[in-house]
Amino acid sequence: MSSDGSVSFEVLEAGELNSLDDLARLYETEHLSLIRLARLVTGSRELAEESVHDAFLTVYERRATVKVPAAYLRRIVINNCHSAGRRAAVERRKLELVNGRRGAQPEFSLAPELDETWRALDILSLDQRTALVLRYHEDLTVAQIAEAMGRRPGTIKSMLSRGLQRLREEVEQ
Amino acid sequence: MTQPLSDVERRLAETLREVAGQTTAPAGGFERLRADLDRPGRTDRSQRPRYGRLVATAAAVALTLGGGAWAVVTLSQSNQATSADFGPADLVRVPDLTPATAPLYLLPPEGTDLSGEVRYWDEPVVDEGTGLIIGRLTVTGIHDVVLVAHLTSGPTFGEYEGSVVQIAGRELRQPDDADGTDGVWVAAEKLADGTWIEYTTTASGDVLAQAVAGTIVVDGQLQLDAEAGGLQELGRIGDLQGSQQTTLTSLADEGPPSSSRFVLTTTSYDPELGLAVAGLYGQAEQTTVDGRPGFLSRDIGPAGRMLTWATSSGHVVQLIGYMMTEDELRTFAAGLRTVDRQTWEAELAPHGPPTDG
Repeated sequence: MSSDGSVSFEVLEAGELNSLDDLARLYETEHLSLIRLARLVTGSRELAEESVHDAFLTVYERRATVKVPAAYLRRIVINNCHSAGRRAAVERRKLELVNGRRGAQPEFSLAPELDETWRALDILSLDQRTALVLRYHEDLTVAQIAEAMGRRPGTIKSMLSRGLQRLREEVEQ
Repeated sequence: MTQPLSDVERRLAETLREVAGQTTAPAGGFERLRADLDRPGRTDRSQRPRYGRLVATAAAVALTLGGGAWAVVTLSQSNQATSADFGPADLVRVPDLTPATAPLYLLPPEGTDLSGEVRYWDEPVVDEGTGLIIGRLTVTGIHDVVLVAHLTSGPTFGEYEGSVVQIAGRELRQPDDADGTDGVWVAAEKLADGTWIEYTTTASGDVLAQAVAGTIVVDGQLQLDAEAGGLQELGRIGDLQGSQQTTLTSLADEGPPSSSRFVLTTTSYDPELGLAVAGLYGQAEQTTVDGRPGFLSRDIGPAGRMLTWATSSGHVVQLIGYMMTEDELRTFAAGLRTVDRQTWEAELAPHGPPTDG
């Protein structure tokens, strides 16, 4: 993990994830930052923990072919977050149709302005939200975000631009 | 960053930093990870469900819907199933609803090689996850095979906003903002006759849980989701065990009746709703919708029920649902069509003609 708490790109070199000791070392260095990343992407502690847990299982299972475990972990976490987030969104939407919209229960304490921004993130698509998190929390470049999300740089630029625009409109209302 | 942050960027960065700072790791996480790694079969990929032996239960139905048709394919996982267990014979037709030329979807042509068609992080999909094939059944055979793949750890193909994906020579388009809060649409394809096909997959853990393919004609344009506020409640399926939890909702608040889409909203997470669904699909052959008699429910296939009733406008609403467990609705489809009294009586006898509300 880097000094600012973001996920490092390459903690282990190729072929270094050979044993449970290696996995423990990777877990020690990356787990918390990945939990935070997943929390920001999904908005949910539970989904974040599930996504990161499964990602570590996957990367260890594929250790024979994974070249850069930390980078691979990040990709898997993001993908897991998307899968979990989509399921959660569908379930939430159905519940809202039946039960009416309910405000999310805050799990932490934020200043009003930040709390408003955090809630506004919910209106974004998962892609937009992920791109914004990688840009403004992980401080990745467009090229790095494109690599992490498996998209073209042009697509990432569009996500960032549209995501920011929607966020701006929401918080200015 | 080389440019000064705008106000919204600054607020966003500060918000993310605050939330991250207040997020802690769960205790005992690595011990749970070790325990899962030690679980038999967890790390042995040969023991995990994969393409070719994923599907144990499959059902397909079609309903006329305006000028198009809906077809639903539902999959569930079973470790006992093998690829030999699965084939076109598993297709379940609804003969009294399906014109001979209507598209049906079935899965999968066994042994179809997925490798080389879809790659993810430079790895072929066959090594990454599970997949299925959906083709179109016509009177002359199975045509237009289209791949719908689910990746173990990656996104379902085509989930790229605004992207176009070439799969097996077919061009699939992903509508903007099609994931996240807008649902789980995977891809859409426009056929030569103007009909759109929508493909949806849902993952459960790291295996494919559900796939849905359907055609729809909505005033010549694809309608992938309801606009905000566009949901319109058409009716409420109640009087089931005294509950009112299940709602029939239209996703189209404008346009002719034939373009309406209906969704039976429910959930498997609320015990009360679970009871409502169980009651809906497991009880009387005839019940009521909004107090109107003529609401019929009957079996149409494995774990599936079809509900039929007449609307005040003379249309017949038919809704199909499949349950994967006793009280869990996993997928559904709905159609709207116009029938004359003779057809109605022929199809629904001996239940008798509809009693219009």
